[in-house]
Amino acid sequence: MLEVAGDRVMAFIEKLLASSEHFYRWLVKIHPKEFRAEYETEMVQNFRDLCRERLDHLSATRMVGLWGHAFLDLAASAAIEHIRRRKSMNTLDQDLRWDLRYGVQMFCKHFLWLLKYTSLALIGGAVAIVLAAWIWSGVRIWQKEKPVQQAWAEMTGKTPEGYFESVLQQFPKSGMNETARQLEDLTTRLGIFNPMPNRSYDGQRKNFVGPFDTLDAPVHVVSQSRKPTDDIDEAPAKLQDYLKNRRADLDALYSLLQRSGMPRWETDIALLSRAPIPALFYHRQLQGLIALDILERTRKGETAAAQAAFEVSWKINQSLRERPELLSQMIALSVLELQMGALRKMKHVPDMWQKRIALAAWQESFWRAMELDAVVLSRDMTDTVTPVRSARWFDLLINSPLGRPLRRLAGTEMLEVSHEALFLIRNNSFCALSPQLAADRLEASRSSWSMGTQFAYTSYLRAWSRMMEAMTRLELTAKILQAKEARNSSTTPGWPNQLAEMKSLVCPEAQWVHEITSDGRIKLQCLNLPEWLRKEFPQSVPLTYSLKAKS
Amino acid sequence: MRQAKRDPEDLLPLSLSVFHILVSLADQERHGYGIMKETAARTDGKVRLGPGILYGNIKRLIEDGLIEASQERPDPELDDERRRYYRLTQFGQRVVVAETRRLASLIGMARSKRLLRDLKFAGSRG
Repeated sequence: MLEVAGDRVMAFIEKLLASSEHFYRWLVKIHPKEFRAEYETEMVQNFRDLCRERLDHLSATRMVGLWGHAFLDLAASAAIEHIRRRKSMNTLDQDLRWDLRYGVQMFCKHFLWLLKYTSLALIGGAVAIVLAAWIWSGVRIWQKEKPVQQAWAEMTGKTPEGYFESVLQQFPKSGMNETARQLEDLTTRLGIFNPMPNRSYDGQRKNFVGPFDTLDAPVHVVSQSRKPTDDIDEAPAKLQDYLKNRRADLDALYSLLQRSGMPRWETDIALLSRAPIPALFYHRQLQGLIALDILERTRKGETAAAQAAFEVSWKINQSLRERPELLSQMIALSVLELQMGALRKMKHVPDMWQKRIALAAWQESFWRAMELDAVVLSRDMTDTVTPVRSARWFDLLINSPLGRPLRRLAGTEMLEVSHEALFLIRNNSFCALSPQLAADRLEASRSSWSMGTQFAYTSYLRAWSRMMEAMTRLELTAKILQAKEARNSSTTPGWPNQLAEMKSLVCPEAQWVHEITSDGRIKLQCLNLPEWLRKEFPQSVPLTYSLKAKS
Repeated sequence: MRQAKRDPEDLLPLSLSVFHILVSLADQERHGYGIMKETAARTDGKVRLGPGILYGNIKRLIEDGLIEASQERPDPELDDERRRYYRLTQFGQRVVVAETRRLASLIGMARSKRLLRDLKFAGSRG
């Protein structure tokens, strides 16, 4: 009986022990995970030992005391471990979780406080960046400005400032002359007027009118100029009708230019990039129309009238060539293509005209225009009086006193890379050095922070390669005129055995050759032209022309 | 190496629980339950370390290099293999000695003020 009672007591004690241990294990879970992983087993084991000790005495009071102590102990140790864990978070995951939670709480509780300090931080960061840029620009200017100006002076004989002043003296601010005004009136009547951009005076026609969508004289002229013989196709009916219907206006235009001096359009270099510039479409369409008229008159055998028209064309284009800015030179080159196409087809050309197409003069004016363009672009960046309007949101900084060093540095670097490009062009046989190779060389040396510097040298290399292409066609025309002169001055039928001066002045490596073909024609050809020229301008190269012999 | 440069004084005064844990381990290695029992016995049950407080302190004492878990078992036949034994490190030894000296100096000060007469009496009675 006693044994049975003893077994029941032991079973009760074991059950109580297991329940206490189970409950204690459950309570231990309020501790941090890392702590439990390390000590949970030992804690439960210790508690079990303590329980067993109490139960051995079969004391209910002691068990209650043990549990009371266990509750306090667990509550205190769990609180301490949680606080310590939070303080000693050292893993990235914990840090992030803690920071994010803290951040969200702070954001919700202290939105305005955060807004204030976030704004302050952003403003502080922006100020730091601007100050850093300001200091950096100052140091770079100190390093670069003088050497760049010296290099420029070595190339041109003047400092950039002196260079600009000398051009200003040579081309003072001037308005449009009467010839140019009347020319605009007549071209308006011809339907091909387009005003010059950035006009510096009021009262000018603002609206563009032109028949370009239905009538494009330059296209026909260019197609004829690329035919390698004196043959001229009849112009399309639409163009012939146009010439017939507008004859009176066209003759009035010729008459104006024959009795007047050269047309002069407004110039104001001091305005830098905002200076008035000629309108490309207007000049190309007008000159295309005159070239069309020359071709038609030549085709019909009206040589004197064709020569008169050519004189007018030359006078207008000469006015552009005498302007200092690069764009005028580019337009003049574009017109030159039309003029040369018409000139080489003419049967008789006065001797003096050959001198007009002297290569060196074209190259020199083009060269000067590029120099001025480099100085103008540099001054445009450096000029802190006139605000920059092109960079949108960046304007605020770049136009502020803090932006001045940046602009000055940009101007200096623009001049630096322009100088390198122009120096490269002038001191190399450009025929041998392709624009791409030159661009690669300049790209390697330029500053990477400024986009403007890339614009500067690529535009000069492209302009110069177009110039070279135009000069090869000019030289072809010169050789054709030379051959025609030799043919016309010959007292005997056929061709003279030798033609003088067949060297190429454009490319020293190239050579002009001629051969008499079996049908008695002479074929002119330029050999050894550079590969890059063939690739860039496949329609112009190879340069050949075939002329009939004197009958 | 790092411990040699540390000054035990920097950790003083020790909390009561920590002091008793270190004193328990001063003469021999013990497991957690052994520490609890020894402390309770030594203090006539006046200081009872619960498992939570005990292992929380053990954790930090190990981190601070005052004690370490022992790889050996003093008497494996008599013991549960799952229990871990702890022992004082050299630095822990120096810390507990330093704390004892600090307490002794306090007692010296109290004695100089003749404050220990009653305590002696109380001690002798207990």
